[in-house]
Amino acid sequence: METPILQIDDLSTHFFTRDGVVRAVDNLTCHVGAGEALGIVGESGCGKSVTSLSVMRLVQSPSGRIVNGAIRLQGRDLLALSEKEMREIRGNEISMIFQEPMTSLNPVLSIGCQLIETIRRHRGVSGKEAWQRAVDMLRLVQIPEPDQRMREYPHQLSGGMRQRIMIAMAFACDPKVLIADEPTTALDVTIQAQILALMSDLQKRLGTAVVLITHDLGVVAETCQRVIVMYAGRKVEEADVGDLFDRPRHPYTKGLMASMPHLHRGLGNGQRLKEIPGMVPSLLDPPPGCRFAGRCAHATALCTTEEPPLTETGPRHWVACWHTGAPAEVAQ
Amino acid sequence: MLAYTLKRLAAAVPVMLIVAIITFMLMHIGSVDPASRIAGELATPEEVEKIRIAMGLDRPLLHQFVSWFGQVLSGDFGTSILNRMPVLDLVGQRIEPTLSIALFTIVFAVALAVPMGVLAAWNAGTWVDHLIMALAVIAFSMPVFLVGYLLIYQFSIELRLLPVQGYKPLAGGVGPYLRHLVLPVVSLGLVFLALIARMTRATMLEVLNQDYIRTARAKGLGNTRILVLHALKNAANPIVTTIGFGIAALIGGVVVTETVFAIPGIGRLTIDAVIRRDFPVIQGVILLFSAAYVLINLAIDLSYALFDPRIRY
Amino acid sequence: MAVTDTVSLPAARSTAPTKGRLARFARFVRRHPNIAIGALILTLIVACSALAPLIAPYDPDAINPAERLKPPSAAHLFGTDAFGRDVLSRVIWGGRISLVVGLTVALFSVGIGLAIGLVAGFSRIADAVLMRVMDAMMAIPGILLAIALVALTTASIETVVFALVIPEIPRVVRLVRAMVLSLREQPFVDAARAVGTRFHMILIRHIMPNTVAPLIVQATFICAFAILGEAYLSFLGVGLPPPTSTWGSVIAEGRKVFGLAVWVVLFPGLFLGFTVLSINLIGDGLRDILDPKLSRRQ
Repeated sequence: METPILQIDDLSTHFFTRDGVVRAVDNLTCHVGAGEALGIVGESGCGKSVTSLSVMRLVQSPSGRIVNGAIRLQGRDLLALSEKEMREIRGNEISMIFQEPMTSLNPVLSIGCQLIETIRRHRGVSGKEAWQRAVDMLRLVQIPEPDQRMREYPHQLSGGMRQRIMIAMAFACDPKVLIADEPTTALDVTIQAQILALMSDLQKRLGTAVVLITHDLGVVAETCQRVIVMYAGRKVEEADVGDLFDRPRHPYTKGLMASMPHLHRGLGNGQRLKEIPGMVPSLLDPPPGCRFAGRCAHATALCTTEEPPLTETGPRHWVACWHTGAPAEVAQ
Repeated sequence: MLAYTLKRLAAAVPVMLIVAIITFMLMHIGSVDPASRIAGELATPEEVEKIRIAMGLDRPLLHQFVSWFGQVLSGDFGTSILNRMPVLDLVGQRIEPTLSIALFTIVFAVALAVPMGVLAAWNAGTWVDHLIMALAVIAFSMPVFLVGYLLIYQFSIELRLLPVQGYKPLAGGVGPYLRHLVLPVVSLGLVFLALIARMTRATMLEVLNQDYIRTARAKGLGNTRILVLHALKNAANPIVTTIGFGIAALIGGVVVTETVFAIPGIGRLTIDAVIRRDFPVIQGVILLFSAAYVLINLAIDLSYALFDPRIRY
Repeated sequence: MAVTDTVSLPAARSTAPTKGRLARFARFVRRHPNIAIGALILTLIVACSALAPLIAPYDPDAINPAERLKPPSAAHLFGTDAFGRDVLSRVIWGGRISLVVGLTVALFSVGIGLAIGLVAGFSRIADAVLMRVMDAMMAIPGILLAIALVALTTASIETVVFALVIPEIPRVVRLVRAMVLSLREQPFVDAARAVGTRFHMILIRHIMPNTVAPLIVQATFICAFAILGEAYLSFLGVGLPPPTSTWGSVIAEGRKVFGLAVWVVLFPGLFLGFTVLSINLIGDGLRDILDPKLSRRQ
C-alpha cells in the first residue's frame, strides 16, 4: 500500500467540561490515500465531526483539546505545527465543506469577496488574477453567470447554490485533502444527488483525497471507496465499501444497515425498518468494555468489562467486536 | 431608500407631536403659575392677570397648545422670561461647547470601547475578558461627577497639566479648545465607553459562535481579518444601535458634566432655566434635544443597510 | 469555533451528592463571583444606613465652625465639610434616602411598566397609541425630563420618585411587550386557549410568570440608575431641599469647596459609586443565571 496522504494515529480529542471529561474521539486511527474517498459513518454525537475539526485543528478551545495522537499530512505532523503554520494548511492543503450552507457563508460579505480572500490568502496573486480564478471556480461547480454571482450576497442564492460556492471555495487552492462534513444533509433530496455527483466528479478530475462524513450509508455507497464506522467516539469497523455492505461484521454496522431502506429488497410484506434499541451512551465517563454493549443483542459479560481490539477479519476489513466469530446473519 | 426615509420621517411626526404635548404640559402640571412667574415677584395680582390675558394663558389648554405648537413649527420657540432673548438665539449661543463635548465623547468612547469589547469576546473566559468587563462595570457605575472631580483633582490641581474648569471656544485656537475638553470628555465618556464595550462583547460572542466564522478559520484566514472583517461587520448593527440609544444617556450626562466643569453649554442653560422657572427655554431645549435624538436614531436605522446587504429599503 | 456535532452531554447534570449548605454556598460564590461581591458590598452599605442612628459618630447636621474643612483624621474619619459637619455621619445618613429612592423607583417603574406592557402586548389598538407615547418618552433625555418634573413641582421624596419613574417606564414597557408578543406565539398559550382558559387567566397563569425573571434583572438596573439619578438631581440643585441630606446633596455642597477639601466630594461619591456598582454586579449575575443564552460560553 502506498503511503497515505493523510494519516491519523491514535487520535483522542476530549472536551473538558464542568461536569467532567467528554471523550468525543477516543484512540482513532485511520488514513486516506491520494485520490481516495473515505467515508466516516455514525450517528450524530459519535465523534465524526470532532474528528474532522481535529484534523483542521479547529476544535473549540479552551474546553476541547486534542490530548493524544498524531495527524500527518504527507508525513508532516499537523499537531506539531504552530498556529501560523497551520493557517497555511487550512483552506490550502486541507479544506473543508460544512453541513449548513445557509449559515456557513458570511451573510454580509459578497460571494466574490469570500472566494477571492481564500485565493489571495494562499496564492499571493493580484486581485485581478484572484477574481479570474474565482470566476473559473464558479464555472467549474456549474454556477450560471459566474460574473454576476460574484457580486451577489449569500441570501440571494438558494441552499444548493450556496453549497456549490462552498465547494468552489474548498477546491479553489487545489487542496490535497477535502473534508466534507455532512455536505448534503441540509439540502433537498434532488439537490443532494447533484451536489454529490459534482463532488465525485471534481474529486476524480482533480485527484483530491476526500473524507466524507455522514450519517447516511447510502451517500457513502455512492461516493466512497472505503468506510469507517464510528460509534461513541471509537472506530468499530473499517472496510472497503462493497465488502462492508456485503459482509458487515459489527452488530452496530448491521443495525445501521437494517435501519436503512433497501430499494431492491423492498419493504414489502409488512416488514418494518429495524431500529437499534436504546441510546448512545454518555461520552462522559463511558462504561468500560465495548461501548455498544448496552444496546447489543449479543453482548456477554466480556463485552461489558474488556474493550474489544480491532481485528482483521478479512482483507482490509477490521472490526472491534468480541463476537465476530459469531454467524454473520445473527443481526437479521 | 428615499421612500423608506420619508416613511420613517412620517412615523417620527406623531412621536414628536407627543413630545411636544409632554413638553407643553410640563408648564401646567407644576405648582408654579407661569403668569405670576413671568410678571415677576413684585407684580400685583392685577398685573399678573393682565399678563395672563396678554399671553393667552387664560384660554383653554388645547387652544394654547395649538398656538404654541404653531409658533414652534414656524421656528419660533418663544423668548426667555429671564433675559427676553429668543430661545433659539440662546441655544445658538450655547451650542458649541455642548456639541463639542458630545462629539468628542462619542469618538473617544467608540474608539476605545469597540476594540475593548472585541478583545474581551475573543478572549472570553480568560483574565483579559474578566479584567475588561470588571473595568467596564466599574466605569458604568461611577457617577460622572465623582470621576470628573477626581480627574480635576489629579490632573489639574495636583499635576497642573490641564485647566481646572471652563471652556475656550474653537475660535480662540485649537490648543486651548482641546485642553479644556479633555477632562469633560473623559469623565463623560467612561459611562458611554462601558455601555458600548459591554454590548460589543455580547454581540461579538454571539457572532464568533456562528458557522461562517468557523468557515473563515477553515479557510486559513488570520485572526485580524476574521475579527475585523468577518465578525465585526456582522456585529456592527447592534453596536450602532446601542450608540444611538446611548445618546439619550449622553445628553443627560452632558448636563452634569457641564456643571462639574463650569462649561457654559446647553446643559447649564437648562439647569439655570429650570431653577428660575424659565418655561420657554425649558420647553425649547427639551424639544430640540428630543428632535435630535429622534433624527439621530433615524439616521442609525438608515445606516443598517451599510453593514448588512440583507437589509433593503 | 462551534462544534456542530453535538457531544452528547448527560441531560441532567449529575450533581455530586449535596455536601451541605456551606459547600453549595461556596460553589455558588465560585460560579457567580459578581453576585457574591455585589451582595457583600450592598449588605454592608444597607447595614450602615439602617444602623445610622447607632453607628454614625456625630449628628450629621451638627454645625461646628471650629472644625471647618478638616481633612480626614481619627476624630473625623472622612473629614468635615464647610460647616464643620462630620462627612462620615452625613454619608451614613445620606444613604438612607438614596437607597429608599432607588428601591421605590424600581418597584414603581416595573409595576407600571408591566401593566402598560401587558395591555400593549394584547391590544392592537392600545399598542399603536401606547408605543408612540413610549417612543416619545424615550426621545426625551431622562435626566432632563426628571429635572424639569422635579423643578416645576415642589421637590419632595414623592416628586423625586415620580420624576425618576417616568423616564424608566418606556424601557420596561418595551421589554414586557416584546416578551408578551413572543410568548403569545408559544404553543403552551395556544394550548391553554384551546382548552378554553379565560383570557385573563392566561395572562396571569401563563404569561406573567414568564416575564418575572427578565423583569427582576431590569429592576436591579433601574434601581442602580435611580440611585444615580437622585444623586444627579441633588447635585444639580433640583433635588430634595436642604434639611434632607442625600449623597447627591452632600456632594453638591462639597462642590463649592472642592479645591480646598476633596474629601467632601470623594467619600459620598465613592459610597454612591460602590452602591451602584454592587447593584449592577448583582444585576449582571442575575442576568447570567436567568438568560442562559448569554452565559452559554462559560
